Amino acid sequence: MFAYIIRRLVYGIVTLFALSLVVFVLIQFSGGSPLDRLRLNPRMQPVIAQLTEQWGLDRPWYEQYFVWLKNFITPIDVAPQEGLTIVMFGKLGIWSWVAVAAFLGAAAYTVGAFFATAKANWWRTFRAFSIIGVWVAAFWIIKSRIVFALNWGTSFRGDGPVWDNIFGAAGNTFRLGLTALAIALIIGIPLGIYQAIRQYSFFDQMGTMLSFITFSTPIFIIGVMLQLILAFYLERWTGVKIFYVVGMTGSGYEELGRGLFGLPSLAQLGDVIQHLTLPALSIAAISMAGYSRFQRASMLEVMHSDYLRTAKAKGLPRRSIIVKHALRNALIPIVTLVSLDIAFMIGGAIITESIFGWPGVGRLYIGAISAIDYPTIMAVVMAIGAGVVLMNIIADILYGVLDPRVRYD
Amino acid sequence: MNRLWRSRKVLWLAVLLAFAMIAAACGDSDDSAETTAAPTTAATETTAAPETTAAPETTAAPETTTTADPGKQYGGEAVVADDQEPPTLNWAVPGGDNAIVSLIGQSYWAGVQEIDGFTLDLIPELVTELPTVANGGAVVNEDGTLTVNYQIKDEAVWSDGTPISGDDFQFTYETIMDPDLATTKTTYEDIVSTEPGPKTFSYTLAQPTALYELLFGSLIPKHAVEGSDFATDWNETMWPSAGPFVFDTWQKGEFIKVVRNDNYWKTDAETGDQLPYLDSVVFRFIPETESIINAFKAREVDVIQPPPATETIEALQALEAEGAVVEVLSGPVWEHLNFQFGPRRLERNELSSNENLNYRKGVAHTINKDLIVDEILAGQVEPLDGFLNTTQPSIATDAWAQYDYNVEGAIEYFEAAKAELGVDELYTVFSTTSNNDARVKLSELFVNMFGDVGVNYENQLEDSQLFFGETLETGLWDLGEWAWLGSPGTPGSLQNYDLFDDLNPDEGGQNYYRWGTSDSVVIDESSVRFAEIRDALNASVDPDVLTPLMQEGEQIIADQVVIIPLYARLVTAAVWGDEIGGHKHNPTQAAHTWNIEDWYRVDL
Repeated sequence: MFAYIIRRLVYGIVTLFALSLVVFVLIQFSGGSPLDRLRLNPRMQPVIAQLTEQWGLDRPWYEQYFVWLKNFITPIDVAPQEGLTIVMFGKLGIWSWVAVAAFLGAAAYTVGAFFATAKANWWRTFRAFSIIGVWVAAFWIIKSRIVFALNWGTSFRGDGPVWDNIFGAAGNTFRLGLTALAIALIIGIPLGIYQAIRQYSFFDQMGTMLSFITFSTPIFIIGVMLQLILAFYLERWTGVKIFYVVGMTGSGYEELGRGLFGLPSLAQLGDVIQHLTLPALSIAAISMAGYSRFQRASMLEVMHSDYLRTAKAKGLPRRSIIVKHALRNALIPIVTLVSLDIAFMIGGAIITESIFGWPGVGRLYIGAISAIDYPTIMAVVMAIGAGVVLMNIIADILYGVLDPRVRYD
Repeated sequence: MNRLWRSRKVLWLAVLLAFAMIAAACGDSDDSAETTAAPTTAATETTAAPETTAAPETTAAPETTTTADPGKQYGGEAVVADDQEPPTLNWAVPGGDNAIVSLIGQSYWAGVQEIDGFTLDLIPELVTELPTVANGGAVVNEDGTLTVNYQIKDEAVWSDGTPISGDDFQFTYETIMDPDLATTKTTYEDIVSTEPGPKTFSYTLAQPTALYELLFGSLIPKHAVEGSDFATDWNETMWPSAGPFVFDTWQKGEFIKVVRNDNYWKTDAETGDQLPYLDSVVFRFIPETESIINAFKAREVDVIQPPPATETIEALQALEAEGAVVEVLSGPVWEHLNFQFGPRRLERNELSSNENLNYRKGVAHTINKDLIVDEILAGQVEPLDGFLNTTQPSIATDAWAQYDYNVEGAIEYFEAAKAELGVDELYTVFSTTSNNDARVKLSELFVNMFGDVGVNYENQLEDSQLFFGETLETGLWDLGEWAWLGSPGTPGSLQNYDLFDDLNPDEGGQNYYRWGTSDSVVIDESSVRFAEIRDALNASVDPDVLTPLMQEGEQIIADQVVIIPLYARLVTAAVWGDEIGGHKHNPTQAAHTWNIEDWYRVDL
């Protein structure tokens, strides 16, 4: 398995290199320049000339690419940060990423272990301690906040180092994406299972219809409708401000006061939920529809398989058949879907973030594209690419955990 | 079973713990993305206040939420929404030229002049009066140089109480002229000498130019900025304020908050009350226009300036019954149709007839501007009959009013053109940006207009990156359309004449039309006379000399139909009138925050 992972990582690095080259060339030959914005101001010509030289835009594209590539993988010195907060994504460094990976790994392992068949007491005890151990290690890493940064350049838009911008926005994107993912999984998967169990019932038909409607509605429409109904009209009807149209927090968030140990207070938590709900629901609505349809199909396929018919014939209880035998196998295809969703989450929910004024990576990406800010464009593309490569590897490994028939050669 | 249950309980707990910790950790706002105002340093000896100033005492801030004047209350907050977020707070670095930077900056910057939103004239801000030849503030010397003198208001102080002095002007000048700083040095580079005083500043320009009126529009405090890395230290925080508010917080991607400057030196001209009235202003960034409107409807924001699409304006005007005040004005960006006179027009249209004056006049009569304004701007404003209308309406002569929409007249001109050119048919190829809805609509309207006059017409629209990045500069178009950003006053007007600089068609110049340039198909008496006028305009500061020259120059451009002004883009602002008072939209680049110190909460 170790050799398999190493091999996949090597392939991944080659893929990322090819990706960077293709995207860079596409940006270079798509026409336009990051300085075009200045051209319609008759007094900016000397500034344009100065910036062209400063940013190396007067060099051939391949020279620009190699300079970018060299910088992209070159670490820069960042002063370590003090403080024992559990805030991860400020100047997010490599160890914070390790912490993220540890969290995700621990979460995935926890879920996997939940469904794994426990054969011996020692194994159960070991499993429980290992889970706690991973969490303690992850927590320690986060608290230590060892900072590391790569020289991803400075934004051509003038908003500072790209590394800081990307990872400043990444936390916000994860907050939104993980919440949406959780909602989608918590509702979508049980919905799909229930629909499969009650195939062709009224509930199934309604669920199918709603899924198709949600799935075929552009997210822009869903977002704006949620804004109008839950933020605008709901307040008019009830006289109470429950949800907000835009923003991640209110401007008076800090004045609401911190809770114990610098954690968000209840009032702050409430403010976050009021702002987070609508964008998370927008994304979750579509994912939920997708997951439920996928889960339903997967569950139906399993339920019609021979081994399940055998289980029924042996007289096993229905609950045991569904939970122990059907569900475990029906969840396997969902792993790929979810892992890819997590990978793309890194790139941010471009439309949703724009609609709800959410300061995530997607919004940063859109702004960078419109300004031809290629240091930022490249960084976002590479982050998404790395995410896809990594999550694919994790998904493949999880396949092996969930399906004993899978072997890594 | 029990053991399994206990084991699962532990596992569920772990799952919940996983999610809770990730959710709590992600994107917490208490991180480096949030920045706060930098601490200010003490005043230096050279900026000591004159005895009469005693700034902190005379400008003591009122208690918040006390009554200032019936109808004008102290206290409260205004939330302003915009679709852009500033990339930097520093106006002198790349990205600092974005409109949103100055829109917010008006709450903490101050300079020699500001634009009055009622009259659109330049008015003094930090100085007692704007220097002119008439008041002796601008003097043309015997050696041909121009000396400009500023008298700084006695009461003008920075937010840390340090008096604003001539040293700050000197420091601003030196900072701008730093060769490593990528900012425009236009006109500053012509300063040959300076003379700072405690409350005065004088400088001499190598030759007279009306552009001096725009210099020192925003000052940099020497005592706070000197010694810092100017290009990097002031991107996310702000130096001490000279305006009504001081920078407080920037939550990246979300909002910037400014709070009352307790040492603000200005008072309400009507009531004599200390300004500003508001305790704080929040600038919230919402990229989607639809969301801006929804946030405004839900009263999450009080003041908006959305992109002025007609459907947006109509949606806002529907809220007027509920207390919204909507202003729709002609803005500083003016769209114009134009002809290419360089050789590469033939690559776009090998049968181009742009060199023929009758053809150009025919085109001018073909264009139905009223229809364009009705279709694109929902008839909210009048079409444009001159570029001076956008910068100095008081001296505008409507030079293009001679070209009314007249199909028969156009056909006559086209027939004359055919005869002169010896051709049977005329061909026009129109190019502009394809990702601008208004321009696409314009191109669709042109199809019918040119069809009505019997000219073969074709649209060849391009993505804006290609159009502005390549097509425009290389002259690879026949009939083109784009916009210029104007600014008010004489300097703004003069900028328009430099656009036709016969010596600057290539890199470094913006005579994209190539009218009168060395490679132009049209070099005649008119273009030569226009070049003389342009040179004369750049060598005088006397309004009595400048005004007739500008009018004559504009008339030449109109008579020769080098360009055809179409309309000025709308600018829209909406405010909840039952929440915020004192708001007045300004159609120039100063936009709606020009008098932010006068805003007050109506509902306190």
